[in-house]
Amino acid sequence: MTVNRNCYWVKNLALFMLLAFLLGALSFGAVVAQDATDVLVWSLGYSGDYNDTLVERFNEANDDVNIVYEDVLTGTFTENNQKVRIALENEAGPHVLGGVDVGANLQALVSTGQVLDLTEYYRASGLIDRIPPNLLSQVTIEGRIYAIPQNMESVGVFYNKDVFAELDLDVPTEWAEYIEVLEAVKDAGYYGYTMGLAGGWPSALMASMFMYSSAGSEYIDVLSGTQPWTDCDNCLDGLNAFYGMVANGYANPEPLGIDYDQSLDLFYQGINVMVLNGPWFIDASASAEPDFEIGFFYLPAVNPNTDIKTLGGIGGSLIVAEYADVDAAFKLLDWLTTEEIAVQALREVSVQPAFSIDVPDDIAPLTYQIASETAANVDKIGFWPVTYLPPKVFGDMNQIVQGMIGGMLTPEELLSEMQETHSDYLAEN
Amino acid sequence: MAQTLSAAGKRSHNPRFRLDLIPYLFILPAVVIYVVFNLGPVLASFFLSFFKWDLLAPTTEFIGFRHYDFILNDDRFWNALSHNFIFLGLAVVIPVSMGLILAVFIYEIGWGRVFFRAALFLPAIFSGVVIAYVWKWIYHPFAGVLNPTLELIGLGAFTQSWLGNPKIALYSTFIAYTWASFGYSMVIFLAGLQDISTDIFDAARVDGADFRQKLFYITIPCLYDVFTFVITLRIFTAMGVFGVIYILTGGGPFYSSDVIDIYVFRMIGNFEMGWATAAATVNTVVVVFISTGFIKWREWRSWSS
Amino acid sequence: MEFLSRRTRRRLQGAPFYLLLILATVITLVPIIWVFASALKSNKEIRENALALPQEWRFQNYIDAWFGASFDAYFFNSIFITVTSVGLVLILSSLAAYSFAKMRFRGNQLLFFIFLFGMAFPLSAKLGPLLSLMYELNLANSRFGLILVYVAGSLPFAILMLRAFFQGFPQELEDSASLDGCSRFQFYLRILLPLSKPSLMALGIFVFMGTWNEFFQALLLINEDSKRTLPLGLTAFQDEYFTDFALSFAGINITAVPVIIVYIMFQRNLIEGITVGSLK
Repeated sequence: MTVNRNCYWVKNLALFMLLAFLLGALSFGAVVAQDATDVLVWSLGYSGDYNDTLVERFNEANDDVNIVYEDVLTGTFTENNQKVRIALENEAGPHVLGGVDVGANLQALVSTGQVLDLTEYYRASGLIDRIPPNLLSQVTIEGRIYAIPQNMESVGVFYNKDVFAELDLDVPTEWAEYIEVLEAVKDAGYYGYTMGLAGGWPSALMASMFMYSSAGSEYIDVLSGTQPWTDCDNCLDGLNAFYGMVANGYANPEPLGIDYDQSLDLFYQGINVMVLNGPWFIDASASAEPDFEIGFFYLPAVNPNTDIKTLGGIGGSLIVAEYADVDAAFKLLDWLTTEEIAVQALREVSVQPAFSIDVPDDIAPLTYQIASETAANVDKIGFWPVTYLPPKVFGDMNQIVQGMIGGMLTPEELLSEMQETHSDYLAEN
Repeated sequence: MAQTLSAAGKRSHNPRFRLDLIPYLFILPAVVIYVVFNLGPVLASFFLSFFKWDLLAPTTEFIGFRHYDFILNDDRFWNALSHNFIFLGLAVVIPVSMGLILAVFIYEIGWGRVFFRAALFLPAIFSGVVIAYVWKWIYHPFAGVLNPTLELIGLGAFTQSWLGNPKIALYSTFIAYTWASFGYSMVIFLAGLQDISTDIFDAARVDGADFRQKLFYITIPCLYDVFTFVITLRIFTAMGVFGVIYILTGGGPFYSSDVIDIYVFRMIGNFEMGWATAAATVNTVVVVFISTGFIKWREWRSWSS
Repeated sequence: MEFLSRRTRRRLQGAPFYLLLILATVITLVPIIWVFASALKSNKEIRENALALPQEWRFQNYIDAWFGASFDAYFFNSIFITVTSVGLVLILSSLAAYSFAKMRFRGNQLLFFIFLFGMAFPLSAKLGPLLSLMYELNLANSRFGLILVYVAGSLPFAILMLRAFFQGFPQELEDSASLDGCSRFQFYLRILLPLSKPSLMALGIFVFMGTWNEFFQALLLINEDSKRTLPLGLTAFQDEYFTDFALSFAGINITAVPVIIVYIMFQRNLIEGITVGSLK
């Protein structure tokens, strides 16, 4: 063995390392280049593609402020929540952020001083008069406003119009009529209720839908921890109604074996006839191209005396990080809250702004119907459970509701499990 | 040993009084990176489990064993840990024995050893993410391949919701884990077999030993140390199983496939760092205890016999 | 049986083993083949007959998946992170393993045990403080930070394996080198490393696979889409396209194919890497 040959090998290694570090320097350059931007945005509360479109339009219309959009929030609710909070705390996150995850965590974000107080901005921009009071109350903490509700939405039943026509069914307005429709659909060989509960979030939302529909604002007290779960008899009625979807064969089989997206596929295929969903479903089903027409109605109340019409609320809120360049960030907020951009969102992706606009009547009829019904019922919307529940308890609720659907818990046991989890958590914190 | 001593003596006249820095310099870069980015966080996790800490606002409030008190009184924690033990019990039997049998088969054949070894090891090279998504599709209740296959071969009675049935979700994830891990046991056993002197097998053949006798009286005893290693590896992976379950079921339905690492990850995600670090510490202690106990027991047994 | 040669008879004795091995191979490979076949089907075909082979081969699915998500960026990130990590692990672990295997110094055993301890604890034991640390050091959401984490994670096994290998080196080699006036670093660079090429290769491939496939630390530490690795990109892609059956199969394949290629090329080295470390 000669030293020369050995040296060649060492040279190869050195060359290889040099290449690796060159690649490293290249990507480092990319990082530095990004620091020159004015406003970093992770989400504006729309689906990824429309965020891209909006950012493009803003950058075209504004020369002095440049927006860089990074598609970060593609994970689960928990993953996104974690990324947002720790990045904001370490000043390594976005300058402006929108999305449903924000509203749910506002309390936590504010308590650690991570978001900018927008109260003055609200006054100066006149936005304070354009947002319905109950939506505004959700982003107000101790008299200060920290976020801008961007979209409002309410959940209802989307149905396959062709099958309804084929079976000669009318849109139900009362619970008994709804059950009749479900029976008729089942007899015809379809499934009336679409259920995909695998994963971390759909179960708690679906169960909450039914508990709002039976207990109304009493359920808000339960979620806030001021009333024990086990004392809420009306909640029990709602859970029984929810469980009835499975027990009576109205729902598709294997609700725990498929996740939410997979269950939607059953609707697009025409196997399932109705699906509980929010207005974003109009856009989703349009891109999935089901070959039938879709209609919408609110789920009839389990308890006719309930004071809450449906589940929903703020679809996404905008926040500004406390380390952001305020002028640049406000410029983006100004632009996003203009009537023109809001109407565009409604027209193009059926997302309804939370601040008042004149809904144009030349938009798609279904979008128009949902937008006007949501606006008419905005004071009767029960907010998402994550608005009230700590993230851990919300996560537990998903699993516990799965336990009921899987036949491992009765609805009564579900309520006592929730009571235990919730009170344990509150006692520790 | 004497040579090493003299080699060291050549460099420093009196090794007892002169510190030789070179060995430390060689180790230093590795130690720094390892301690900062691997061991340090583990130790920090242990210390922080006695403090009130939420990852965001560092506080120094010492609260003793309160996090442990919560964790050890939490049914979900014991539920998750018991699933780790079920996983462990299955993992030291099924992938290990599959690996052994296949290694013996490959050893016995002449032509095609390399092909079979490579083909059977293939699933082990994939990312846990790829494995989990492949199995998520296999188990898909409406478009998957498992239920139709069972119907095709006349086992239609067994078709079901593999990930949605709380009674079997854990075992479904175990099948995916096994698919991805028996290859490791197999190649290690195979290498161990190739280290056994062929004279022993030749002698056994002359004595008329059949396949079963060879397996139980020669192969398995000769692979004693290999078994210890393979099973120790399974202890680590089964107690730390995470990726496959995280993507396949996320621990559900109703915690039926929850394991400790999923439990901890969920806590971290919710910024319940105290509970997360306490649970992670308990798990680390359990893993170290089981693995060292097992290794000591194997050493003692081989020494005493 | 007289008319058969000894050789043929021995082969026939192996026939049951062949049959069982072929069966095991088929069961093992069917899921992979099925995923590859499904990526060439249309959604309708997958829904209606999951078991059938594609009627016409739709390579368009791959093109849609590649351009529908930024797989080119993910691919570049994975290559960069993996190659740099492997290089660093090889350098650091060979230096340390040489010291552990061949030098006498106070604390040798203890330091080695500290490294060994790194193989025992589960991933969850370090995640929380690691996340906090990376943000403190401004290394979160950075490829360099991820590389450091991967290197730190691979070092225990790498040192264990190379130490076992270096211990097998005859002491005379080092003695004669030192007589020739070769310093220990020169010995390491000029003699030890070149002689260990096969082991370094085996270790390198092993670390390559582990790093290329890693997912959860990347999930915690990387935020921006442009910095994601392939496994991370795949999860984002799957979340978005899980209902587009064919596209999600294509996405899985795009992530798996590079590993399969490396595996086919370096199969022997990889398996050597696993077994050398385990048997010594």
